[in-house]
Amino acid sequence: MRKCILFLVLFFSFLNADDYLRWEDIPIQEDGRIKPLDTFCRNQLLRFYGKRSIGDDINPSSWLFGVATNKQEILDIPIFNIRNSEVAHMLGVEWNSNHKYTISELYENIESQIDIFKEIYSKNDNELSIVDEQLSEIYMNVSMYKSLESSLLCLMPSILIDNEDVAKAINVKLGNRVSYFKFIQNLDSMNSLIKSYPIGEDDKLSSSDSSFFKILADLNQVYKTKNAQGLKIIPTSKFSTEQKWLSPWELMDGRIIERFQLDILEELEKYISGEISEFSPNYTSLIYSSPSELPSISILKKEVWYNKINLFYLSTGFYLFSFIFICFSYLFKPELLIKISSLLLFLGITFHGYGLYVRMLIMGRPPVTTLYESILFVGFVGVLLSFLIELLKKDGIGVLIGGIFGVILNYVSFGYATDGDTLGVLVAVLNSNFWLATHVTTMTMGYGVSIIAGIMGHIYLIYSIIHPSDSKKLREIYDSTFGITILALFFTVFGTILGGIWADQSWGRFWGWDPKENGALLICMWQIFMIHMRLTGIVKGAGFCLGMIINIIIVTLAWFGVNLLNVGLHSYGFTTGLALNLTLFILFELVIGIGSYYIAKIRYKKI
Amino acid sequence: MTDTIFKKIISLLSSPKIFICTMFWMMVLVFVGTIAQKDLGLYEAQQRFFSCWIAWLGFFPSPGGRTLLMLMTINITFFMLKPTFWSIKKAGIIITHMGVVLLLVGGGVTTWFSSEGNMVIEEGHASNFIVDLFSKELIIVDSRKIEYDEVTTINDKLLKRKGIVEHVSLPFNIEVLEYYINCEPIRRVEVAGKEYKGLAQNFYLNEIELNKEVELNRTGITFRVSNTGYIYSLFLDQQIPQTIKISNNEEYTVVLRRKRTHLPFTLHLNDFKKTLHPGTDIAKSFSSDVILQDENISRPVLIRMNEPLRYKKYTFYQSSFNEGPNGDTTILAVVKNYGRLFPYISSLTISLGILIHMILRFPIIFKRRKIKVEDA
Repeated sequence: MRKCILFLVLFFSFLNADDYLRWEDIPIQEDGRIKPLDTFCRNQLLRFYGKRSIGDDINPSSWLFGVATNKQEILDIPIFNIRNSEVAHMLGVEWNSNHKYTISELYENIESQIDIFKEIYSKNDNELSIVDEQLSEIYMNVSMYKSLESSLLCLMPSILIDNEDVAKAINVKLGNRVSYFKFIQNLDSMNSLIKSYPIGEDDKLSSSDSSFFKILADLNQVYKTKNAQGLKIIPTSKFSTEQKWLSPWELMDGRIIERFQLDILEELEKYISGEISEFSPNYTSLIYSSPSELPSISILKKEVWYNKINLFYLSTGFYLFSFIFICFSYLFKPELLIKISSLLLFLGITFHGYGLYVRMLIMGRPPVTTLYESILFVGFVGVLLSFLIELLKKDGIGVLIGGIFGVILNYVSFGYATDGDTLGVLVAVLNSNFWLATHVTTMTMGYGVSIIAGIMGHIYLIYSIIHPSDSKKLREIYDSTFGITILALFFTVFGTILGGIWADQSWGRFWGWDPKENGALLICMWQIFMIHMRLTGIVKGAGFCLGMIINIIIVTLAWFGVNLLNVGLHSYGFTTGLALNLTLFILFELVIGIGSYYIAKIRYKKI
Repeated sequence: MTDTIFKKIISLLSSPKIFICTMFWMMVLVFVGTIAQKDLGLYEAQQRFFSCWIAWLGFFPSPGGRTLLMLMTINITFFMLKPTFWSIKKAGIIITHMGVVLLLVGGGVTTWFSSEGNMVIEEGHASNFIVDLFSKELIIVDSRKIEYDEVTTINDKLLKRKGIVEHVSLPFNIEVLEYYINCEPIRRVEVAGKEYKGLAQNFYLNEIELNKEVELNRTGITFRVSNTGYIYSLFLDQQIPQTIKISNNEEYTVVLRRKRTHLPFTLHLNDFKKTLHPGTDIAKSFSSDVILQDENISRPVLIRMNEPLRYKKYTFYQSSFNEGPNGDTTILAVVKNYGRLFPYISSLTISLGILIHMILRFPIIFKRRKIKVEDA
C-alpha cells in the first residue's frame, strides 16, 4: 500500500513541478548529449551494478553525490557486479551469493595485480576470453568509479586553514576548512605568499611553518586527482568554438573563467559543503545564461520523471494482465472479462505511447532511430492495431493478439535497453528528421502490421484445429488476416520505396542490393506473392495463414537477421549473441506453423 | 486466325503463373544473394546474382536478377493488355500495377544509362573529372611537345583481352602479357632477363584473390613494347612513374590508373568540415564547401550528407573523406542517372493506387458484412 501511494505521488509529481533545477535535474554532458544528472547516474549504475537503480532507498543522483563527496556509507555499498566466479577468483575476492562487491574490496586487489591487466590490454580483441573481457570491464569500471570519487574534490572544503598568513591571503577565518577552488580564486595572493615566505632550515621549523607546509601538502594531495574530469556539468563558455561542456576540475587549470561559470562553481561549492540543501533559483538562471544550447527545464525534469516512472514496464504489466484476463474469459464470464482486458490493453497502450512521446520530446526527433526504439515502436503499432481490430470485431481476438504481442516485444526491448543510454546521439547519415519520420516510421509500422497478420494466421490455424466446422468464424478470421496483410503491404512497399528515395538522396543510388534493402524487398515480395497466390486460388485460408506465419520469420530476418551479416551501408545496428535466439525463434515458428497447418488439414478432412 | 494466335500469346505471356514462379525464384535469389554478400562482398554478390542475366548457384545455372525482373515486367505489361483487366472497379489495382511497371522500367533505365564514380578534391584544389570505382585505363603520355602533352588512353576492356593493342598516335604496339584485377608486386629472387625494364626488373606481379571491397583491389599489368621488345609492369596507384624508352629522344610516361571521365565544369574545394557530437567521436555531419565553376558562373555550394549538389545531370554526394597533415580531402560520389525520377513517380503512383483500391473496396466490404449479419 505504501508503495502504491508513493508511486501515485511520483506519477503525478510532474503536475506541480518547480521551475528550478534540483541536484538530480542539473544538466550534464555525456556522450554528446546534454541530459539531467539523474540519467547520467543511472548510466553509471547500469555499468557498475547492472541495473539502473540500487533500490528504493537511495536514488541514483544521491548515490552519485555520496560517491563524489566520499560519504562512507555510500562508498560501502557493494556496487560492482561480477558475473563470473572465475573473475572473482582472479580478483582475489570471495564469490558471494549476490555477486556484488564494494570499491574498497576490488581496488586494493586490482592495484596489487596490475600485471594481469597489462597482459589483457596487450592482447588483440579476438584473443580475449570471456574472463579477460569481464576483467577488463571491471578494471574500467573501477577506474571510472575512482574518477567519480574525485570529480568534485576541488570544491570540497577539505583543507584546514590553521596558518594565519594563508588565511589572510585567501581571505578566510583561521580554523575554517576551505576547498582547493578557494585557493584558485586567490591564486595571485597565494603565489606571492609562497614566493615571499621565509624558508627556514628544516630543524628550525616553527609551528606556523609546519602548518603552512601542511596546507601545501594537502593542496598537492587534492591536485593529484585533477584528471577526474567525468562530470561535465559546467556549460561551455563563449570563448569555446565547440559545444564542449566542462568539469569542475577543468576550470581549475588557470584558464579564464567566465562570470557565470564562477558563480556556478560557488553555488556548487555551497551545495557540496552542505551550506545549502537545495540550489537557489539563481543556479538555474546561471545555467541558462550560458551561450550553449541546452534542453529546457521542463524537458530535463520530464526526463528525470521518465527515468523514475519507467512507462514501458508499466505498459508491459498492463499487457500481461490483459492477456491473463482474456485467457480466463475462455473459461467463464467471457463478455465482462473481454471488456476488462480491453480496458487493460488500452491502459497499456496509453503508457506505451506516452513513453514514446516523452522520448520524442526529449530527443526532438521521430520515435525510431535505434534497434531498441524500433522494437518499442513496432510493439506500439502492433498493439494499437490489435486494439482497433478489437473495437471493430469485439470478439476478444484483438485483445488476445495485442496482449501477447505487447508482452513479447516489450520483453525483448528490455534486453536491448541494457546497452547503455537508450537516448543516444545519431551518426551523420541518420541525422535527418524528415527521413527518420517518413521512411523509418513507415517501415517499422510495416513490420508491426506484418507480424500482427502473422499472429492472426496462427489464430486461424489454431481455431481451425479446435473448431474445424465453424466455417463462418474461420472465414471472418481469414478475411481479417487478408485485410491486415494488404495494410502491411501498403506500409512495407511505401516504406521500402521511401527508403530507396532516401538512399538516392544521400548515397546517390535508389537501390544497391544492400542486405537491409534486400530484407525489406523480401518482405514486400513475400506479401505480394501470397496475395497473388490467393487471388489465383492456389492457396486457400489455411495456406494463406501459413504464408503469413512464414512472413513473421521473414520480418524478423530482415529486422534482426541482416545485422548478423555485418556488411553494407546500414551497418549501425550490429549486435552479438543474437544468432542463437533468432534460430530458436525461427525453428519454433516453423514447427508450430507447419505443424498446426497439417493438423488443421487432417481435422478438416475428417469432417 | 492471327487474332487467335495473338490472343494465345497474350494469355500465355500474361499468365499469373509466370508471375508467381518468377516472384518465387526472385525471392530465392535475393535470399541466397544476400547471404552470399557476407563472403563475396556487396559488389561481387550484386554482379553474380542481381546485375546479370544468368546466376550460377554452385554448378546450376539459374535466371539472374535481370532476367527475372525483365520477365516480370513483360508479364505484368501483358496482363494489363487483357481487356478483362480494365474496369472502373479495378481502378486502384490498375494504377498500382502501372506504378510497378514504371518502377521496373525505371530500374532498367538506371541499369543501362547511369554511371557513377568518385570525385576526390584536396582542400584548396579543384577537380573536373570523375574517377571510376571499377574500370581502369592505361595512359601513355608523350611530353616531347612544349605546348602540350599528348595523352593516349587504353580502356581496360582491351587490356583484359590480353592481345596486341595498336593506336594511330603511338609509334609502337603494346602486347599485354598479364592483366590482374588484384595483385601484389613481389621481389624477384632470381635475376630477370634483360628484356625486363623498370619495376619489372626487380618485381613480378602475383595475382591474388579479389578483395571484398572492390575499391581496394590493386590492378596490375605486364606488357611488351613491340619496337624494343622490352617488358614493363605497372600497378594501380604506383608511386614511381614508369617511362618507356624507344630511342634516345623518344620517351613516354606510362601510368595505370582508375578510369577518368571529364566534366564540362570544375569544383573547387574551399573547406571540408567534419563536426562531431560534442565530447565524443561520433560524427554529427560532414560537409564540403565548394565553388562550382562553369563557363559563366562561379557560385559557392555546400554539399552535405543528405543534401547533394545537382548540376547538369550530375549529382554530387558527400561520400567520404581523408584527413591529412596538409589539409583534408573530400570524396564526393558522383552519379549521372537518367532514371532518377522513375522511383519518385512510381512510388506516388503505387501508393495512390493502393489508396484508391482501399477507398473503392471499403464500402463493399462493409456492405457484405451487413448482408451476412442479416443472413445470420
